Amino acid sequence: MRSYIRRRLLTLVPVVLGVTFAVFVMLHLMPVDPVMMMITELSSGQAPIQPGQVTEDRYAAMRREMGLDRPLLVQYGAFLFKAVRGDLGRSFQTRRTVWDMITANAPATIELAVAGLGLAVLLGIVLGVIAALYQDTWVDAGVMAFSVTGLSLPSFWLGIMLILLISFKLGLLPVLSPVGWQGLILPALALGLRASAVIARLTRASLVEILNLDYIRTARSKGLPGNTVVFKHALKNALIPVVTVVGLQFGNLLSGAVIIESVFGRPGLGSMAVRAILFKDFPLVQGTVLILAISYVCVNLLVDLSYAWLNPQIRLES
Amino acid sequence: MATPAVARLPRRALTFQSHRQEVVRRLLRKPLAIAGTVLMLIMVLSALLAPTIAPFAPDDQGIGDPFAPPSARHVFGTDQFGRDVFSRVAFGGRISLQIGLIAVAIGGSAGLVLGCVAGYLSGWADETVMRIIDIMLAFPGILLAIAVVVVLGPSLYNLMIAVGVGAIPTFSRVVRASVLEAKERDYVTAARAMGISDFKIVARHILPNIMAPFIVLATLDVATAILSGTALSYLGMGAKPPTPEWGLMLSDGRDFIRNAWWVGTFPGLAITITVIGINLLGDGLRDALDPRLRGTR
Repeated sequence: MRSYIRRRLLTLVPVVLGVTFAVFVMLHLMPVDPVMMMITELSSGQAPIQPGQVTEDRYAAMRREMGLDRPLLVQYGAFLFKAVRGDLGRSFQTRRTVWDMITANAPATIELAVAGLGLAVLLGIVLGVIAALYQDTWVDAGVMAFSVTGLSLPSFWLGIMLILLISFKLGLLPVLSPVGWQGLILPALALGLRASAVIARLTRASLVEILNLDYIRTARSKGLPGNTVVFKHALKNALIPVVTVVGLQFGNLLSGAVIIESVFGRPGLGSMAVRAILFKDFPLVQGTVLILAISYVCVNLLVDLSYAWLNPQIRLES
Repeated sequence: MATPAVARLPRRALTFQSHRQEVVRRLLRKPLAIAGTVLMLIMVLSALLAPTIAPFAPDDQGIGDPFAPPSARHVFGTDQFGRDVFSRVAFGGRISLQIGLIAVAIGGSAGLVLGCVAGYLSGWADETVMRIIDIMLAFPGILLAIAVVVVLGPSLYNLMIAVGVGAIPTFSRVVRASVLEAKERDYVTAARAMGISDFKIVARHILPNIMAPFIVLATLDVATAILSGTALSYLGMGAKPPTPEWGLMLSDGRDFIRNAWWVGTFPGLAITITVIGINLLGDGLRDALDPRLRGTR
């Protein structure tokens, strides 16, 4: 197991380097001159400054100050060195450090993603088990119809419809409530429904397969109660592939938060990134994308490790 | 005695035709696949015939009162500028289907090339391609598309490219896996023994045999591309006003949802129906083309 973990950690290095390089190159490919952006922001964002209005000396000095006169690879090395120490630059808009802004907004996004995942797992596994137990009946068809619809609903539209029905028409939950669990239910539902559809499908398929295996038939023939067979013997094994998907869905929920936070006007990394993109606040965009991508890679690694831990076959092969 | 027409057909054409007929027969046995095809046809036809079925031009303002609720004159009501929502939804279908198809064409063709190179050549080519794919996959969900839009600038065409680039990793991985399996088959070994070039082996012998999973993925990915495209437009990174794009219309509708629910509801319904149709058709195609793929999504 240890050698497996070591090997997986080693494969992570080129991916993380690649992600940092991709995000770094992003900034250099943008059709905007970062020096002009900085000069405009330093002048408190008043009238946009045209290239002719800045002296060549001043422009060159700024380029040198920002390290843009150095070769690209050297710049990348410096960026990497700073990023490792948590220095991702300063936001053009707020002048606060990007790291500060990310750490201030991350808890709200993690809270939303965890709540979305909790709902998705609960709903997905319960529905998947019900569909498997009532295989090929109308209950099964109903759950699968829910699954197809869940996969097809745009999360942002679902969010708007939930606001309309639950908040405005029925008045059951508030639309905006940054504090407390009430304000979290609707965004978590809008975010987690798609994941619950995926989990329900997989739980059903996996449980149906396990329920047809010999050891389950033996357990039944020994006279074990139906519930014990399903929940103690079958479900435990059926959930192994589901764990992988749950982990992968967590990464997707992190990026899904980008949209849901905008719909519900919640604070968080997502809504911050969208604002940064619209205002061309590139250091902030770069930092947020980098942090989200690295979190995703780390979650995937944890998923792989937990899968190896749960599945002795992988452990033995490694 | 005259030779029967079937016997005169070249053997390859006969096999192809009978396989196609078998696929269609299997597809028609699935009620959900038929439902998906019907939904798809309705959405495609309404998009194609938008100039005929839409009672008004999509951008014409002041056709009705602002925020007029659904009525006989305006079936889906009007928006804040008095534009007919039904006409805009009908025309919006053209844009969303275009986004889906063009994005999948970009992602599919790039994925096909990368997957074939990685799977057939193996070695350093495989390693290089797979590491690039790993890096692309490290950007979760819609984030890669957002990153591409940031670089290219927000516009409808850049959005199509962004969504297409986001689809490349999945296509590459599926194609690579299929090529890896196909290249071990006897017919490929035989072609190699006959001295046929690698390019011809891939183009003539491997590609036709890996088309089943590719077609299934391409169909299902049109749905994903439509969802991503509308999401990006919703965030203001795609189509610009007054383009009748479903995501943009939803974004407008969100602000007025309390008093004018119809402005945001109908574009969302159109997206959902289109995506359900494509998903059902894709699921049916998967079962019909290659039942072994069941449960892969």
